[in-house]
Amino acid sequence: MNQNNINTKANHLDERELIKGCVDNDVQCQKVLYEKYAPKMMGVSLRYCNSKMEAEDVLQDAFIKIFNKINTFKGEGSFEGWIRKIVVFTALKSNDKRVQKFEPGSLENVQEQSFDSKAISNMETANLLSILQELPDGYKAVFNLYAVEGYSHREVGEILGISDITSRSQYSRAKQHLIKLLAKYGIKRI
Amino acid sequence: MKNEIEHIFKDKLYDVEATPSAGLFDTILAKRAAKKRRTAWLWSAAAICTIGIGTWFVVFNTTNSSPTTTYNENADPTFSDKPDNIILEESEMLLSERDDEVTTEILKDESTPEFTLTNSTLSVTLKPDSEVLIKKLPEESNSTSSSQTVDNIEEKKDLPASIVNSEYADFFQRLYIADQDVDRSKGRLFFGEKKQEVAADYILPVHEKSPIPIRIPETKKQTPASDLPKQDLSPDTAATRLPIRKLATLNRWSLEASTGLGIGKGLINSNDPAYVAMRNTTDKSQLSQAFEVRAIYRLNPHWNMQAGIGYTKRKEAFTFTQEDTWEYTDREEVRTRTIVHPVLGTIEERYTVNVTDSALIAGQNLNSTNSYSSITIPISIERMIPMNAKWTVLARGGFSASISNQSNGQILASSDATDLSDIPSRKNGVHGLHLGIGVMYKANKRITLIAYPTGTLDLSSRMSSDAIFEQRDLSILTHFGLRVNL
Repeated sequence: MNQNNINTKANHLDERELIKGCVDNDVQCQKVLYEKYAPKMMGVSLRYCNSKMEAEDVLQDAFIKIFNKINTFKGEGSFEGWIRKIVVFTALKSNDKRVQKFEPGSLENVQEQSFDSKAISNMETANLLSILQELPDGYKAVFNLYAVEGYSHREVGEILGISDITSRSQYSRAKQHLIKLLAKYGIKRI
Repeated sequence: MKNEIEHIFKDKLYDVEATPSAGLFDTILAKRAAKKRRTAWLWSAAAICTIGIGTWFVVFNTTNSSPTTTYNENADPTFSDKPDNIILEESEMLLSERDDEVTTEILKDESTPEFTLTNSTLSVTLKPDSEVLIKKLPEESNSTSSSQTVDNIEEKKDLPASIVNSEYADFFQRLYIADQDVDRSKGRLFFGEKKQEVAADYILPVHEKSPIPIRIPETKKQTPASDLPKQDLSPDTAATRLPIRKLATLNRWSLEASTGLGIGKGLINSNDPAYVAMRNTTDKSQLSQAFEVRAIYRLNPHWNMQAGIGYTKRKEAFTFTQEDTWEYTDREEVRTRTIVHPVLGTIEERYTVNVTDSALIAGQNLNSTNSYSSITIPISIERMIPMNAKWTVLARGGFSASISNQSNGQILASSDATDLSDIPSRKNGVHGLHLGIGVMYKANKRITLIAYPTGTLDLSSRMSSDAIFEQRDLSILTHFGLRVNL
């Protein structure tokens, strides 16, 4: 009964109060914060990982970091953006352990391919996620950072420790690889 | 085309949500707690290691830091007389602060061969009979066959390094004879402004039969060490390396006696803020005293440990003037009235009335001289920072265990400021911390004078547990006294 009351109280706190509660190590506030952001961040984690189990490991590590470092959040920018960044970086670090290989290359040797974009639009989100997960780790990282998160190639290069040229070439290859995977789901090349 | 695929994936996947497994949050909390425990454990382990290494360094650095040495027993046992012209600073000896080519002539006698310690830049020439020269070598110069580098002494035990070491030991011995403050068990030669070390710590070779030799025999001429019988005096075999013997070395001990004067204040804590405010205005600090005797053990030229016994008496005057009050007294008063009757004539009638008398009572002056005294055992560690040959800045801090304490006098017992009562004192167990920064003046080799402003603070209340308030005493007393080096 008492526990429920505390939970209810924490549920009604605004984001700033919630963050303050987490800074003070208030477990109820941490739980509310987790419940608020975990589903979205699980989605982010799934995009970078190969399986749900792996994504949960990343999410777990990310939230430990979030709770440990929440006192460093200065309120500049959105809190969700801050959390997302931690999840992305945790996922990339986790992928690092599997040794990503980024082959330095030029753009000339990559051929653009066309595909039926309407068919892709009509695909289930879960299927698109599965396709993305099937990409090799290096391609997946570059594609996620550039195409989904919206970082520039220069920023992607800085994050992954590669040149922006490599980032561009990896991205092109990732896209071509993606199209091949799409074909498995019946998406035709044009 | 290129943008389309980005848009499709971004639109569909940027905000995609998925439900993590139930119980993941509990796992996060558990892992976080485990990590904190692990971190705390690591910090504890690191702290223990640091303290351990620090203790080892402090205790053993003064005893067992010597390289393995051999000692020339067959040399002629002549003894050095106390030289007149040695100038020394405490036990870390700065033989020369100068940078000129041929510098300090410490001891004078020109009849003996030279032994030279060199490293890449410096040459220290030791003459057993005992001229000491420190030369700065040209940068290109290296050790010659007739000289031994300091670094090589440890490795080339069969070379005349042993002779050099015994001469080196003799040199420090003579420094010790010249000035009892010198720690003869440990010596360093420094050169130049940067105090570049030219010879590492050296422990005086010790003969088995005379564990703490007073004098060291000298060699009259350089003899190849290979021709001489040697005695291994490495730390493993020399019984005198035990720290307990170090503790027994009297020249590391000093006694200090001091008297302290200053003032103090009781820091009052109570649930009744009015009472705290009143005590803070009624208690006036008075001159307080302390007496202390300490035994001091010098760990090295910069640190020492101290323990002793002390008596501290903090005084304060309690003054309070009560407000004037009205006093009311009820009584019956018999009054008479006279009635003139046309028939009966004059009649006197007696009647009784209740009367209340009032009187203004002037407020009393309440006062008492209170004292808080205790006998304590202070345990401190002290840092000494020499300023010059005479003056040293001191800083010490530590813990004081109280044997007994007494509080005499009276205080206001409650916030209505009417009742006085005896101070509800605890009789023992009031421990405290102390911290002081002072100066020391070296009057002569044995006597130093100190002035030591020191603050002490009780860690627990001096009052008994049934008192309505807690009181921790804070005193700032300047100790004046002297130290006698044994």
